[in-house]
Amino acid sequence: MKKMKNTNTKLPQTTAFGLINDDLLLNIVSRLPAVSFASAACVNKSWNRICNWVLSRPKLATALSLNPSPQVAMEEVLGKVLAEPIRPHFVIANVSCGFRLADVLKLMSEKFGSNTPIIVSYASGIIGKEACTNDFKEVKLMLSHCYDMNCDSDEDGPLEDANNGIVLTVGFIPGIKIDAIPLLRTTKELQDAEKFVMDIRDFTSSVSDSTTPVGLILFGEGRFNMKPILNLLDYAMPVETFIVGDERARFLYRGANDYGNICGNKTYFTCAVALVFATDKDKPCGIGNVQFHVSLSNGLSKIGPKYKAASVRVSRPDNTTWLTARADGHQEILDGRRILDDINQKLANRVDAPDLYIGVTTRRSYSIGSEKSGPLASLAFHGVVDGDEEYLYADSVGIKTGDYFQFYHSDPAAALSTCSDVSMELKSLKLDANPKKFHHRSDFAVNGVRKEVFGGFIFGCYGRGESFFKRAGVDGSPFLENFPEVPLAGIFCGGEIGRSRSSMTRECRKESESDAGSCCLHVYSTIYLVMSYTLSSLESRDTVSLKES
Amino acid sequence: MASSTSGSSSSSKVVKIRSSDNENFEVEEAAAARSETIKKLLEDVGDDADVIPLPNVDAKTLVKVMEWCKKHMDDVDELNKEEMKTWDAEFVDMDQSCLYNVLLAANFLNIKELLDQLTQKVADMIKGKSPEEIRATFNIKNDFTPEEEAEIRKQNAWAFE
Repeated sequence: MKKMKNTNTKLPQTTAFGLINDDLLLNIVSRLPAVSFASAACVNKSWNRICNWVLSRPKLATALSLNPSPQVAMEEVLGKVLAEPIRPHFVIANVSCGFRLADVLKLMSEKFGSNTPIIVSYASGIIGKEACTNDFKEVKLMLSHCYDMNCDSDEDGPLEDANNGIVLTVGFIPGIKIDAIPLLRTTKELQDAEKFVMDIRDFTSSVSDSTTPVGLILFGEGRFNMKPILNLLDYAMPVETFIVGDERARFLYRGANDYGNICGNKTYFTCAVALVFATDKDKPCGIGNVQFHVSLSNGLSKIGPKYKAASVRVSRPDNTTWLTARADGHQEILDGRRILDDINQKLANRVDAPDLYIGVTTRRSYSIGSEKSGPLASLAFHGVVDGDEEYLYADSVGIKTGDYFQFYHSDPAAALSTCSDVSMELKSLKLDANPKKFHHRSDFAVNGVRKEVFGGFIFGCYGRGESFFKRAGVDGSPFLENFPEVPLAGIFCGGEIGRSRSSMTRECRKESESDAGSCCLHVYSTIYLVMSYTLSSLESRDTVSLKES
Repeated sequence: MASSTSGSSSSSKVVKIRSSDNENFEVEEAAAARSETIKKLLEDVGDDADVIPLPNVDAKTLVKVMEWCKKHMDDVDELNKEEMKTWDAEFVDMDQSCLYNVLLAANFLNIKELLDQLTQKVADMIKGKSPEEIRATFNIKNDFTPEEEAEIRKQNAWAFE
């Protein structure tokens, strides 16, 4: 039987398949799901060349599911992101607390291989396109026992509830090397942070010609004060390096070179993990450049005069700072009640009972290892807890006598206005990317379109979203208005990290030179990380074929 | 589009086409015009057309392609969508050498929908297979050196774990 079959069908079919030209094979392999596409790339030289052509440009694949069953939800998003050709260079999965992080990491490691850096984290909300319906969603998720660090305890097992959800993001970025670098806590905080900076530099210089990474996506562990770490990173990394992330996520990670180290190292406590993006020194010629743009929609407004901290006490047990202050230009020392009465009076005509913060400008000196130390001014926000006849109580620590501060309050109107600023900013990116009119992706090279936005990621404050704006979808709109077809994912989080030199934050900076200092850790803001790709001057279909054959 | 201009009339127009092995066929114009290539040729020659030669398509393949075109001559309404889907699935279920010939013909004749169905069919044949299985299925020679293959396997290793 077998022989019959061979003689009957194999001969003619050899010649026939040989006739299938590159265009047709390209059409065929483009239709393959990611795993089969990987197989196709290994068939022979011409298949490999065609597959490399299909995946010659960076790509972001993302999907969201709100299925109440974590198992089904994970299958849905995996099915969606792996439905098209992609090679996973990094994976981020953000989930509600109905998921067990260890289960998510295990499944992701199985699906994306042991050499792919993976970060899984709890989020307060998720943003993205639903796997089944392709509808765009911005959803808050249930917050509950997420923060009591129980990655391997199985007290309750997975909870099934209506607020379950996952957003999965997989990136393929040729020309960039990516790994997950942890910040491990030993006993000496500052040294740990310095080591973190050095680890990031070491990784970067091992894959790149420079010690400066292109950027970092950070996830901080909820109970750890990220402010000093961010200040050190801000100090150590040139302003070209983008820094975005979530200050208060519970997370698990896996680096590209971890072998079986699923839950992080047990002897240390992992305070943070950075997904580090570094330019590949072995980047093949013909591969263009990837750019990351960070935009910020600020949701705070200033109120009241500038104050100077007079006396400062730190209460370690509840991690708060007790302050008295002088209003700028006055000698009288004010207690918490006096200060708050004054601010509340100014807020009196507002009906929305905004959250109050003080933005504290600190000027500190930083150094990395044996390098010469240098000064850095930074702006840090502290939630206002209370005020009495003695003190003003602010959350977190790090304020010193003599630091200047100013009150801020959450303000939907300001947030809306900065959202439209971001939209304008992204629009200029779009015009820059596409000087003519909108073309199909494949017209990219043909029509002289040199730049294309291929993905976005959002870190939004948990306080924003529908309840803040009184309408849905505001946080995603600046991106969606400009790039409706481009993959976008995001989370609502407890502390949004964002630094860049883009114009919005630059404005922040301009002000900072005389006044506030640079700010990496925001409140009531939404951070937009937009990824774009510029064709190399060489790149065109013909040169790719020529080069490879 | 053009297919509907004459499709509905009872005495629909007929065009003659000729295969590479010199067989002549008479086909309703509405069916033949599913092919952008034929449609363009018809527009160019107008009503004076005698026979349209198709030097790249043999008779056996042309019969198959025209079978599809005839079925897809009229716009599909919601009612027979499902029926059409079943018909299409059966249509593309042909032996491999026939499949490639029809695929090449669909490409040459520029029949986008048929081309989509056929490339999808070949993609479905690749799905779920290892590189070795793909080579066996399509009788493709592995022309990598062992070193090259190891390197390329490494690049795609995530999928093979």
